[in-house]
Amino acid sequence: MEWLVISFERFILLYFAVLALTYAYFGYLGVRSVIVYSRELSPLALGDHLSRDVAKPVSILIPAFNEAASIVESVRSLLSMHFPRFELVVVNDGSTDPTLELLREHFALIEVPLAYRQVLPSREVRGIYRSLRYPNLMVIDKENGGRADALNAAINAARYPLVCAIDADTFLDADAVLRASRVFGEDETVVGIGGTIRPVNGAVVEDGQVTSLRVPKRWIERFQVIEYARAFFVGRAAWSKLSALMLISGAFSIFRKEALVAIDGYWTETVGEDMEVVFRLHRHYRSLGKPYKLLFTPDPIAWTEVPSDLRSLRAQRNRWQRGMLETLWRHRSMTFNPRFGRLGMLGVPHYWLFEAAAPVVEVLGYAALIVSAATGVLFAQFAVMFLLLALLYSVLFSQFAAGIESFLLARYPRTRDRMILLAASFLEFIGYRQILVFERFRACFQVRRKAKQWGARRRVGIREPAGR
Amino acid sequence: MWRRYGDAVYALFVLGGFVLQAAALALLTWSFIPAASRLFPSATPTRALLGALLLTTTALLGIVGFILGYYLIGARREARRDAEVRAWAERWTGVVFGAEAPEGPLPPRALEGLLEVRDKLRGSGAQALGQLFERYWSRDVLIRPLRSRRLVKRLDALDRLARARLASTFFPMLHATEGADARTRGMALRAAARTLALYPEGPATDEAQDAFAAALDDERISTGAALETLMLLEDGCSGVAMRLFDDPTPRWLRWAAIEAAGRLERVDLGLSIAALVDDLDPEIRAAALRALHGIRMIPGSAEDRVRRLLYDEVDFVRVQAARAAELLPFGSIASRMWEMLGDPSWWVRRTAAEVVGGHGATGAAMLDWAARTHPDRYARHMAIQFLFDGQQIDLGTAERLRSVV
Repeated sequence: MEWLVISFERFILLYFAVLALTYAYFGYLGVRSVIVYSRELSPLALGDHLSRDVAKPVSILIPAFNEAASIVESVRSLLSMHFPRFELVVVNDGSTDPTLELLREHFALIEVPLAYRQVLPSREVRGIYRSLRYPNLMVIDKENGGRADALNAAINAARYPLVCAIDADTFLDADAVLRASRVFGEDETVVGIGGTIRPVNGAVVEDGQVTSLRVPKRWIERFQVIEYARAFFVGRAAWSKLSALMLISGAFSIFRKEALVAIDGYWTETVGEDMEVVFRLHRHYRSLGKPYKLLFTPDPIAWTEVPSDLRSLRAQRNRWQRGMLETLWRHRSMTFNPRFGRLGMLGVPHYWLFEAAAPVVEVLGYAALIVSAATGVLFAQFAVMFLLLALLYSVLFSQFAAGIESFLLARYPRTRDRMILLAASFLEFIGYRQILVFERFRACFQVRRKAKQWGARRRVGIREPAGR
Repeated sequence: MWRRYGDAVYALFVLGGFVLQAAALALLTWSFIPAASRLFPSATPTRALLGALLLTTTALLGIVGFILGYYLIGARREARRDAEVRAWAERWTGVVFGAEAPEGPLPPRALEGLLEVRDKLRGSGAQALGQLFERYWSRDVLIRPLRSRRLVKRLDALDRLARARLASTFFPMLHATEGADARTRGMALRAAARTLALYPEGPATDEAQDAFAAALDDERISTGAALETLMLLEDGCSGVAMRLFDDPTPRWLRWAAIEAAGRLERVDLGLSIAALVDDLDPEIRAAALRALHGIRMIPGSAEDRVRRLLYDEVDFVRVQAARAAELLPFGSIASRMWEMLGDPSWWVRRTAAEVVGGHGATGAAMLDWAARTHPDRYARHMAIQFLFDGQQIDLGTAERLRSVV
């Protein structure tokens, strides 16, 4: 028994060491990519790009299922975007709340008998609406088929060569699409780009734009501010730099439409369609032998409402874990496959080992702690010090990301906010992290049983300034 | 948008953090290897763990200290810097309009202020600022960082050069376009284009335009980037575009030059563009037609050719020909537009409807007539749709007409 516990401890140590070093290296890559990016796309370059009107036109696709709490504000925000030519395609995916009615009322929609070319399969379209006030707004009303199905329907209706998929509760910075679309013009091999997602909770939104940032009130939201910074400024930035980006968040992604059509659109049998589509794009272009790039750029920034209650958050993380496992399993042949270069030899194995299996390893670690304590083989002093070390590492990575965030002009402005986020990066380790690890652990065994289930989500809506 | 100071130092802090972690973890892993612990008996796992904790705490304190310092000092520094640059910008504006020039040597903020104003002024004001720059600084201040091995320094330098737009820095910038790094190349081209846009008139301009056209002819540049760069040339676009219209130029670059000329409405290039509507490449034909539409002028000698292209075998050429034909007398294209309403391509039908619809009451009457009597079913549909989209008929009328169709 003792031998088993010691072996497991050594495994944990090795696992921890590799993970810690990888993330520390990613932190460095993240900072490097932000430094270069901030120079490459200076205010001057962006202004030139906007004034020359050379950006490729973009269709913005917004699947909406029961989004009555935020859909009007989101659409309003998108309509106020700085971009020369774009259209919004909102898909009401069989909502049971008044999403469609709100859209009709606020944007003066009328039903139109538009021609509809079904290049990608999707559930039946019940009607197409256009706004009398905004010629670039189209709403598709269709039977419920899930996010991927709604996106496929939207791609069918999209007119422009670039399609930008966002969540219905996402707000984009005014020049977010401009920044992303510029990369497509600069480099013809780019087929997809993801931007940074930041929690909008606690922020003040005026006319669809985030005008003032405040750290949210609830700790559960504060922890997510740290998590998002870590995931985007450190994780995605590094994978992109290594040419092995495996996830472009569904909350804000831009693709060449022809690329999505070539791979038959989004796969509707998964709850992780955003990750799956990136894997399939990699496969498609690798099999054709064509040069291609899937990139993360730290700025464009999209703002999203993160769950503010534990139930919604657990449902979200459960879904993310299942989506990741579905994708990894579907594309398991890429693992350690040299045909896929760094992606196959480094990226996919990393995801299996340090993302998909992480909750299992962590839960087993907690179990081993209890078992060794119960059997008397636990060296308490060592265990406490090791846990403390893990905590410090976790805080250090969070601070790497928080440091990158402080270079943004749109950062949390008050020093008090910064102190709260520092405290949050300590406190998330106590309770919050374990709850989510157990949820992800549970999700590992629910992939089949909960197939295609999204889970409940309570939306609060965003904060308008007082007096509005 | 990002703050562009302190980030390199932060990168060093993060690198330091990474090194400390690597050391800590190496120490810890080492202590678990039995052979190693025999070699250094004092390196017990507990001691190694304590060492790892100390190293990690040091790294964490460093990073947190940097962030808080950046917040506290950075905000104040930023405000002071902005105020100083603004003050210098105002002072330089005053100098341009006759106020007394300051005594040198000047602080670095003075240069920032000058670059702020230089980017906003045109004509004699811009020239005066250029002369003021030469009076107080050497061009080397701007060019030297271009030779740096650090990418960030080169990019910063190019951003300043792009704002400075000094003729004396044009060729060093162009030289930077030959480098291997795509980001430096792209920024250098754009900075050079901005500079060429304000180039003083004279024989040197020809040489600069030749060199710029040659620099653009690089297959590593994307069509989109070439187009944007050409558009940054503003009035200087004509000279460069003319050089790129010729046959040896690769197709993608010719396309970009024609497109830029059209978008910048370079009327002086009308005849040269018109000569390209007969090109063998349909993309070039379409671009030339679009450019003619952009400059709102079809030279008399090209009118017949444009009318002929309304029958082109390639649908997107027919689309652009229809758009350009909008500039011809309506009587000379009306019958062809009527036919084009029934074109096999949806895009051609739509464009024909737009061109007809753009001709006021006559066009509206023709579309109304087409909606009811056009022999082609798709033409009738398109006419109805166009009238409905333009709110010239209501939904009920559109439905009724459609049911007849």
